[in-house]
Amino acid sequence: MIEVQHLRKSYGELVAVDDASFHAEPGAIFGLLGPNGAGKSTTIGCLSGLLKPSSGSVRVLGHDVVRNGVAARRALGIVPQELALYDDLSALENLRFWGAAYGLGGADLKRRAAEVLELVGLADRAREPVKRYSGGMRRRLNFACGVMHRPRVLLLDEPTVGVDPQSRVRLLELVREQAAAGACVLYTTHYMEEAQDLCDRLAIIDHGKVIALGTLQELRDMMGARDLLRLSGTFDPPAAAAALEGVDRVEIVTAEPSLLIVAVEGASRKLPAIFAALAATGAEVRETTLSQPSLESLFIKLTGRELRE
Amino acid sequence: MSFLFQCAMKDLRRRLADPVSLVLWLGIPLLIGGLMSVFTSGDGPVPKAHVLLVDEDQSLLSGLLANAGGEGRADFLDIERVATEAEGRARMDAGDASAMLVVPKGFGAAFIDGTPTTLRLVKNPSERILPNIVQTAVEMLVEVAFYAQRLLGEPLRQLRGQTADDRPGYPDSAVAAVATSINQRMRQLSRWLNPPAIALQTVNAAPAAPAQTSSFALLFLPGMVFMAVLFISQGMADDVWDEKAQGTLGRAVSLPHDLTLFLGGKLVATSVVMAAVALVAVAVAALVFAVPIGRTPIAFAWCVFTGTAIYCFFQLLQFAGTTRTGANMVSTMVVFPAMMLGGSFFPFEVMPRWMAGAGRWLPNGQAVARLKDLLAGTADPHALAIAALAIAVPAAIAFLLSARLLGGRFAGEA
Ligand SMILES: Nc1ncnc2c1ncn2[C@@H]1O[C@H](COP(=O)(O)OP(=O)(O)OP(=O)(O)O)[C@@H](O)[C@H]1O
Ligand SMILES: [Mg+2]
Repeated sequence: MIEVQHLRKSYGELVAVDDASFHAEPGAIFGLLGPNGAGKSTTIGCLSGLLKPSSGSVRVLGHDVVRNGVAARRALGIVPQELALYDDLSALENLRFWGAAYGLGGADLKRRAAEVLELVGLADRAREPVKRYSGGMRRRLNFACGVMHRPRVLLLDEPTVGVDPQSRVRLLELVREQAAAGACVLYTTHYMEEAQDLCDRLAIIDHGKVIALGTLQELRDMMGARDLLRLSGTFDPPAAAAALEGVDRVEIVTAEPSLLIVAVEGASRKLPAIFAALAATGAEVRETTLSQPSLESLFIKLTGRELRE
Repeated sequence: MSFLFQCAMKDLRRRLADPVSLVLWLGIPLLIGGLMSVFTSGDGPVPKAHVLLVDEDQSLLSGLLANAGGEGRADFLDIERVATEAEGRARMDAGDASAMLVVPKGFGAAFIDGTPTTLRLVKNPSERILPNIVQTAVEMLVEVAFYAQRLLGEPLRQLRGQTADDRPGYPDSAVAAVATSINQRMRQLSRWLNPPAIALQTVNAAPAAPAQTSSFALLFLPGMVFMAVLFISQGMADDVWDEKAQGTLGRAVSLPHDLTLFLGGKLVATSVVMAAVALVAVAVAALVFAVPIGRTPIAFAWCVFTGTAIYCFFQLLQFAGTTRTGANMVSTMVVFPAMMLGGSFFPFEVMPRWMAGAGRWLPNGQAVARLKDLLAGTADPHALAIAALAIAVPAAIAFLLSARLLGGRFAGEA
């Protein structure tokens, strides 16, 4: 459905996307996870025809985006990161215009506009000009414009940024519905949890390069099935570190006076041993969190950096 | 086709959401047509208004202003200088004048600097019609002065920049040179205020011996119409920057349509706005200036056609700058000379011959010249067809080129 092969996009010296390859299937949500400036929007731009790839190929539904653009874009829906709305027009007028642009018409256009407005919770403000909307309302309408025509391929560029938690849940629900209805969804985000909750497969991208690619389980396996244990309290870092060396298969990730992070296999079974070792150094543990291998930990492992939110 | 229509409707809706600029665009020919009708309606002798002028500024400019309508130049104005406002008021109270115009101190300098300044017109409350005529005349003069300021202000300011920083004033030689050119310009402008005279003398009247008012319409109206056309073209062409800023251009690029249709929507929307202007123009021509109704349909069509074509040129100009400000500067640098040369400020008939010759080669100049023929009933079908082709072909190229540029770096990276 979406095939990206050796995609490269440079702006002069700067290489925004560097030899990226991935493919996304219908009926599933493919995530593109990466920090600011990773090249997510640039990738989406190359898919939507807004940007011309420097090299490599991008195909949507089997059509090359550069050579056969109109055909490739026929089934495309896009929710750009930057708003793309007519401020002077109402929500309804915006939806009808974009819907009609994709070939909806007549009663279907009207029905779908009303339905989508209901879904994003803007039905009661539908006839107001967009310039009177709040930021979050605009975001929701921006989303609505992208799904108006029930696209078979949906590109979503951080659609939930700036949206309140309730609306966010609703938007994510909508994304799942699109995929369930058979759409191929490409979802970019820098929110780890969102990617974890939503995506069937994903690519982690950093500095324009795909550094990890696979299903959530496959990516977790790359972590070597180790859990992450966070302990907060008061520690003597060198002493605590030395004490934990003695516990089987524990790796220190962070050791600070108030925070200790360790990667450990089968953490729940080893907790008593860990607490005992720490107590012997006079450490005081106030809070403990145990998390399964996560994308966060994978990102840290792959790049040595945290993927900040 | 349906997408083209959707785009056009969308752009028209957006225009209607901003009625102020729409009214302004339509209002330009209406306002000026209305002003002209004030001067030309009625067959009897024009009543003369006695106006007192208090010149507190005593500058070159205020002197010119006083001259513009004074000393027997205008048939309906009779200007007399008085020393002080108090003296003027006393004279008005005595029923000696219809109105008094006060040119405040610093008027000339403010005019050159383009800072706001006020001319004060005191109307005699005991008279009803004449003071209003005076008011209309002054309003028109201010209108003209506004454009003159646009045209002349910059060189004048530069001139000032050459003089010592803290010494207000200009070197004598420079003042003399500028004064001569302003004098000429003002003499031309003053003819606006004295329309019956030039209207009679300079127009080659149509063979059907139309009324004086009709020849007056022929002299000025076409230029006014295309002044509006140029403003509208500039405004509609600028819209691509709005589309870019709002992100809607980016979304439009991702549609399964050629962007030519998207831009075509703007072309159609523009032609609708042009049609509204053309309708106003031919209505004024027919109702106010007694142009035979039979001539109006083709004059209307001509205005819409050439107006839309002129928009295409301005559309292409938008891509001459890499930023909105840059592009607007380029198009403003084009629009004012185009108006000036194309017969929108002064009719070709009063321009120096070389200037009129050059102006007629501009698309808008050509459009103005042929519209005059159409309104006068002297249009030669052959010349009209050639003019139409000469405008349409480059306009079509400009449009297609614009559509190409729109989808390229303009939408994506720039
Ligand atoms: N028009 C442009 N000209 C030059 N460089 C650009 C341009 N657009 C993007 N870039 C650069 O390309 C890189 C990737 O940007 P991109 O917008 O794709 O990142 P992103 O992953 O979407 O980030 P974010 O999470 O902040 O949206 C960045 O370094 C950015 O500065
Ligand atoms: Mg982005």
